[in-house]
Amino acid sequence: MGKVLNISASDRGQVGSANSRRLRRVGQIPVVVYGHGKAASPMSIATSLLGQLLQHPGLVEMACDDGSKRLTILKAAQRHPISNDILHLDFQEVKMDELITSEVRLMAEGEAAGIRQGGQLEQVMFELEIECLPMDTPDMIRVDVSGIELDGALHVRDLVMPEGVTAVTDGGLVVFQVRTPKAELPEETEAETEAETEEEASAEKKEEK
Amino acid sequence: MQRGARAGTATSNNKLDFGEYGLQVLDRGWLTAKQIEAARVAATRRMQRRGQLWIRVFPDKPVSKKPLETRMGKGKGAPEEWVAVLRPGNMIIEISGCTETIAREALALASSKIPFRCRFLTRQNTVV
Repeated sequence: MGKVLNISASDRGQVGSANSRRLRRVGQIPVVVYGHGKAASPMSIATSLLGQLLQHPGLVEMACDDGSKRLTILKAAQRHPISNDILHLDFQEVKMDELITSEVRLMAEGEAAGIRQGGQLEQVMFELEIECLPMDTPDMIRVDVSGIELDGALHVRDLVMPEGVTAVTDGGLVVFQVRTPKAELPEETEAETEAETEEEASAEKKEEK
Repeated sequence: MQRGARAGTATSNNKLDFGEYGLQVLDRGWLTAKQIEAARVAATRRMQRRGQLWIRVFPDKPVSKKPLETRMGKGKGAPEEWVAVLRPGNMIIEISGCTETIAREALALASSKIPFRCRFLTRQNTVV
């Protein structure tokens, strides 16, 4: 973290789904910038910037049409459920000396002690809500899972957070756990045998008819 | 025939909410309880007790059918099966706790039990 991505954004006069569709057709993505008690400003950015923007988890400086520059973070992205294309982006305006809340990804590091005892590691929480200054926002939080025993869990309160970062999510929630695998195979075999018997019975009935 | 609308795309249950990998449907239609169970069994067999599996659809719509060689009339047929209504984008199964290779194989087997086009999703290509 620490880098600031510079992009240019232009005001879009009209809002609404039909206007947004027209924008997308000409290679623009509708975005909205809000924060600090100001009215939300509908804007648009070039689609070609998306690749850079989505890879960049930190601060984004937007150069607006009127010459002003706004320091923002990418807050939310709306995707099409089928094509997975970006439909709309939300940017939140921030100040460098003001705490912000954002979500960061969690990633396991190391091998849990419980795995050697026959357990399996499960990630229950994938993103953590944190509070920090904009420049301190980490790209992701690496969690050392080596201390988790069989049938044990690692909670939010046990996480080692980077300097200047505090977790907003409830400390009692589970992030990772090591569980004993369920013994499902014998049940399935029984269920299948029953299903096969039913199928055979129905086939016999048909033949009788 | 009054069979309900299946227009549009899925507005909810269209993201990976529980697992790391998922099976997303790309067509619209009815998925019967038998097909869901067949897909679940196919996926869990390949996973061999590793990982966790979530079924994201539930067959809550009863479908009735008239018996064979019956004349029309005499009231509505008896409930024959239960189905889940699917729209493009719905997640059917989610998996976590196994490698991507196993998840791909398990969900490929599951998709062979589902009469619609499906695709494999990972959290990496859906997260912002």
